[in-house]
Amino acid sequence: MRSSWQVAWKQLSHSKVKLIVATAGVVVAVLLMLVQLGFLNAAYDSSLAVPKRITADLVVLSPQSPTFATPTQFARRLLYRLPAHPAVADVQSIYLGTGRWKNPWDKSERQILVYGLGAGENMLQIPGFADAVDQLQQPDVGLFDRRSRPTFGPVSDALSKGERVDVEVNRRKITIAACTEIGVTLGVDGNLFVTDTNFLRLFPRIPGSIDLGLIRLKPNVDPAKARDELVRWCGTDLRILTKAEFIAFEKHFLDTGAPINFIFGLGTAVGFFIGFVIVYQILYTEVSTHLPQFATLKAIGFTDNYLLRLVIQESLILAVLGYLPGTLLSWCVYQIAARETQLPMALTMFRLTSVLALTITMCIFSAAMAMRKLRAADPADIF
Amino acid sequence: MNDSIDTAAEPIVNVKHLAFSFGEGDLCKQILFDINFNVFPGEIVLLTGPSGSGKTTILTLVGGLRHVKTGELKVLGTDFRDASVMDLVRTRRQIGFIFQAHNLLDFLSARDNVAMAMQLHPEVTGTESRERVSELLEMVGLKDRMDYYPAKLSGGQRQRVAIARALVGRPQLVLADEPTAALDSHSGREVVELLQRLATDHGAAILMVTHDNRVLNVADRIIEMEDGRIKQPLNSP
Ligand SMILES: Nc1ncnc2c1ncn2[C@@H]1O[C@H](COP(=O)(O)OP(=O)(O)O)[C@@H](O)[C@H]1O
Ligand SMILES: [Mg+2]
Repeated sequence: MRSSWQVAWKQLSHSKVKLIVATAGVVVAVLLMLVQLGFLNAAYDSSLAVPKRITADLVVLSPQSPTFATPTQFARRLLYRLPAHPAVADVQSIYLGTGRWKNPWDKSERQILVYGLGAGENMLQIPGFADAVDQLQQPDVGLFDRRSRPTFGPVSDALSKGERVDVEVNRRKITIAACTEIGVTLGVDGNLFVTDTNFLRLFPRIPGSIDLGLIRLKPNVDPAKARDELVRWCGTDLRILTKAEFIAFEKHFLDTGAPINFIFGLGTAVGFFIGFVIVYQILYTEVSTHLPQFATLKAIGFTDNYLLRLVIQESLILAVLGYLPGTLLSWCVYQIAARETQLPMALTMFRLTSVLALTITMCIFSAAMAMRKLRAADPADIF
Repeated sequence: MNDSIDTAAEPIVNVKHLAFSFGEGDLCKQILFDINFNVFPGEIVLLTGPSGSGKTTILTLVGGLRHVKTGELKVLGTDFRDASVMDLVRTRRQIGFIFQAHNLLDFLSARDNVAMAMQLHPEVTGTESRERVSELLEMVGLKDRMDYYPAKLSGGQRQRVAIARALVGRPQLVLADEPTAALDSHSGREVVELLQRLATDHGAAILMVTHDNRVLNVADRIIEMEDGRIKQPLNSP
């Protein structure tokens, strides 16, 4: 009994039920915060997975496109004008469309995002596309993302067994040549990659309109400078961004245009609040039922600071007690969620430390609220 | 009476023209009027008088639990008139308080309740502090119940734990407010004898409020209160 930590622990652990309830409160808070932040990050990481695969120096979009994933089409001739500029080495057109995929095994229909990659240097890195390019250039052949949701059917398994996989996309028979690994997002369940010619077979559209343009600059050209000159050329017909600006543009859309920040941020806040309320409730009851005893401690020479420290220490003990099992449970939830949703769920060191900091803040905050009651302990009243 | 009293020494408690009132303005009610008395080392002084005569208020003032507004009050060398809150807290650590309500912490065993008070005396080593705790609990007759929680102790036993807690820091002054009121006559007697032994063994002074006629004979001096004033001493030294 030489340290206030021991006193804090004895007060907390005296009633096992209270200790378990308070710890469970922190566990739930940690679990909610870690899982919600995990989904939030997964939503970001997955949505940025394709933009990060772009190796072009500049990216061209319609000024009306809020994000590359829901593009407004623009005229291909606008893009084809650009190689006339001395800084531009090559351009590539990219087509995007949402098709209906009929699962050949159970005949169910799913929406799939189809990318059409224009000829020339491929500036959208799709692993396996180059290897299979001879096949992909045949009519009605595609490259399937094996990290699409399982509802699309066991395409990858069938291919690795040497079976031929023919599916129906937009009522056209498509042969899957091979698989790649890209990953899905909250809004996109599966991906299919085809050449531009095959894309236009699947999606009849106004001739000559594309969704995204990619630009390769000549060696030793400053992308920002080239961008400025090209913008001056094109006026407001096109949005031209450097690669870094394009990533920032997509992030900005996720921050503002999509509600994921709000939804998962709210979930995190709810976790924080639940933990706060439970810990506060337990500490408040501890303090208020012990007011005469605490007043006695003050009378015999303990300072206010000592008692404040005691309550803070109790809250810190709860933070640690709840954090460890909370993290373990979250890890399990991450594994399950990753398997079920195919989203990239990783328990990063950064998130673990952020949530530890949040948990400690939450507990100290509860303690600070509960301590206000301590002032009511007047040592003069106990005689 | 007690031979160890040294009236030539500095008094431990020195009260001069002390007055006190509760409330302010129109609601101001004066409780104590022109109180004068001293307590010397090793002396046992009893405060008696009818309920409401101001005895508890005197104890809270001497114990540094209320601020002195009028008059002089010196306790253990500290002048309480211009003492800071921290001065008061430091002085309180050298005083043993025995309250009518024992106010033990229910989540600590008897031993831990007493040991906790030793946190106020970091200068004492861990081993010595543990020895003192056991020694005092033995002295108050709780040798076999050191690891009991207050809920498992009788009223008298709890009061004795509280006394051990008050004495474990070897205070030079003990303030006790009706410590025997909640006890049966046998335990009441024991508690008072314990306090008396402490006064003789360690030279501590004791200022005790009591109505209990059976304990009056341990007193070196009795101060009788009435309506906030001291009646003329019955047996001034
Ligand atoms: N906190 C307080 N506020 C106002 N009046 C008080 C307070 N405490 C005690 N009093 C009044 O002071 C008087 C003396 O009380 P007290 O010192 O407790 O007397 P005793 O201990 O001799 O019974 C009583 O009239 C009581 O009502
Ligand atoms: Mg009283």
